[in-house]
Amino acid sequence: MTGQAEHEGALDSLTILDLSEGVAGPYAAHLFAVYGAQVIKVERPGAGDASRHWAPYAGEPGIERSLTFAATNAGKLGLTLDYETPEGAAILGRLAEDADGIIEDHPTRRRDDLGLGFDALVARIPRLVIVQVSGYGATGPYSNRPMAGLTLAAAAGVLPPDAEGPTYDRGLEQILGMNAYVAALAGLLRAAQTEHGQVVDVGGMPALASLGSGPPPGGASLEIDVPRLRARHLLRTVDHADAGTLEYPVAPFEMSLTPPDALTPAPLLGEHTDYILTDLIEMEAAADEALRAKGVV
Amino acid sequence: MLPLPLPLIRVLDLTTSVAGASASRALADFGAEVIVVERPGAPRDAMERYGRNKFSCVIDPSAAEARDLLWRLAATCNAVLKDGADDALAGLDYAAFRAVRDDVVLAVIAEGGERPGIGNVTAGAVMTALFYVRYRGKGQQVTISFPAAGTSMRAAPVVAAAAGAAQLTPDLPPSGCYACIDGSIAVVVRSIQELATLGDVVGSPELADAVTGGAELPEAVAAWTAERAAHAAATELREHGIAAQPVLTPEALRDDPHLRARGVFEPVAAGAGVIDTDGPRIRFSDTPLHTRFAAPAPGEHTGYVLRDLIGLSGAEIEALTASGVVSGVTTGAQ
Repeated sequence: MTGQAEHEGALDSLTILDLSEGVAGPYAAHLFAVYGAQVIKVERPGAGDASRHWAPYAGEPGIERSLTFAATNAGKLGLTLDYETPEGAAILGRLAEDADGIIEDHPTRRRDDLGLGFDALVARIPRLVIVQVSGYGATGPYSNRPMAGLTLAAAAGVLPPDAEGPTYDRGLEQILGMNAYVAALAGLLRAAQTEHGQVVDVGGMPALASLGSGPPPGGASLEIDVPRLRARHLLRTVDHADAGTLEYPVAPFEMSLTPPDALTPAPLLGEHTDYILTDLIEMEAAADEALRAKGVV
Repeated sequence: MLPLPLPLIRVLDLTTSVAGASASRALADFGAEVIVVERPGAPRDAMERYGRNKFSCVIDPSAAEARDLLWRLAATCNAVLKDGADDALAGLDYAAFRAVRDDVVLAVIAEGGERPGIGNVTAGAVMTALFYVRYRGKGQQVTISFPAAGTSMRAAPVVAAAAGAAQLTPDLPPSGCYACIDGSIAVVVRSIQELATLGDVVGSPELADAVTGGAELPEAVAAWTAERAAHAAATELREHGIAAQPVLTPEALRDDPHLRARGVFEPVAAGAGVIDTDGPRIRFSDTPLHTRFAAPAPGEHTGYVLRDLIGLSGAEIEALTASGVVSGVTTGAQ
């Protein structure tokens, strides 16, 4: 359990490993946490999620004060783990045994030679659903291009062809994250019925490309009327140890029987490493210390 | 035929909104049996656009006899979708649906039905609730409205705005669109390292100032892109790890090699010509989604619904057809 749950959440039977960075994958995993799943955010020791290094910050720049990271990672447990090492890969494999799904955006970090390839994982954990979130999809000529909201908008045909200057990307990364959440649920419902997992490939350009009526005129602007959002009760507060009290959007949909619970703040880098290693996978304290000394966790 | 993710789920779609049609299309693509209740003579724009993989039955919900049909049909369905503001469905609330099926999930699109994007949120809400049905055996109502969903889907800039930040997105000042010899490209830099790289590539490292976030750099980037073709400029930037992408038009998307390779738009013969239809966009390795059948004709499945799901007799169906409550079934009288 994520610690904050006082009543049942709709997804409290699920455990999700979030290996993704940036906005789209983390937002998808955040939605699982909003509706009650246990979500373990796995970050690289030292640097953590790339978005920890992105402005804007709550006050001075710092890895615990990135507002992008805070917004898309609330409700999760935080683990630092270098799973590109043999010891780290073993821990990720152990965590995956208790998990229902993985959300990732750097599949090659799961090294085949360390037993984390899809075939090896699915042989161990047949029900595992691996959701791959990327700007362009896991296959096709553009599959290795990096993801960012504005480049996604350019690829999806939603920008004016003669666009110039700074322009808002319509929040496409989070829209992609919602797509990934929905697709993940479909894969997980099937896995719950059949014990068959699979890879779900959610690519931004293929998911969002539109031949429709073309881009809307005038380009999107990013206007956020905070007083109006407050007045309409669309914000809720979450206290963060370093970033202070932050206001978050309410859950995207309401549920009459299992209303989303209060959110825990986005985890500090490695905040729950001890809890996860000791309590969740019951590793010996001595082994934990040895891994820390080697920089694996 | 390969299996689909949701083969054992039946969904009753009572909506007339774009969001409802989009939601039930997502569920139909995933393999749910979606039964759309179409109203006699109603516009079919949403059905034509979002109707693939769905069943259609025509029932006039305002007719007195229709309520009994809808209750009996709902009793066979795991989930029901309806628009919040739909006078024809007055009285069809969660308590009433629950009375005919204890574990039913009712999704109510309360606000924002005109937005296709709300359909995706609605599909997610239905499946979230179906998980709870699976594990606890209890249904519930889920309510989707654009203000909440739209705010959540802008969580990152909303949290930043509410915290009083001057910059609302992680994109540093040189991020934006730049004119090239042919068309334009989008460029995004978010970290100080990417900023320094961009300064080097465009030959103005001194302008990649971390304190200003590179606010002086856009002119140098513009001068650099102005001398290059969009494709070449984007490729060169990506080779240095910078996110860059030519701005594509809808026309360019139709022939885009990546989307062709992914099978996003498929040419399909239609009448005398060929049209591009789009299929499901997400790839499932074990249960690939596909267009199993195109949007149905109005009432194409009325007979299946009334006979096979509700269990009406031929005579009962004939009487309902004669009085205009249902249509689409060819009966002996016609």
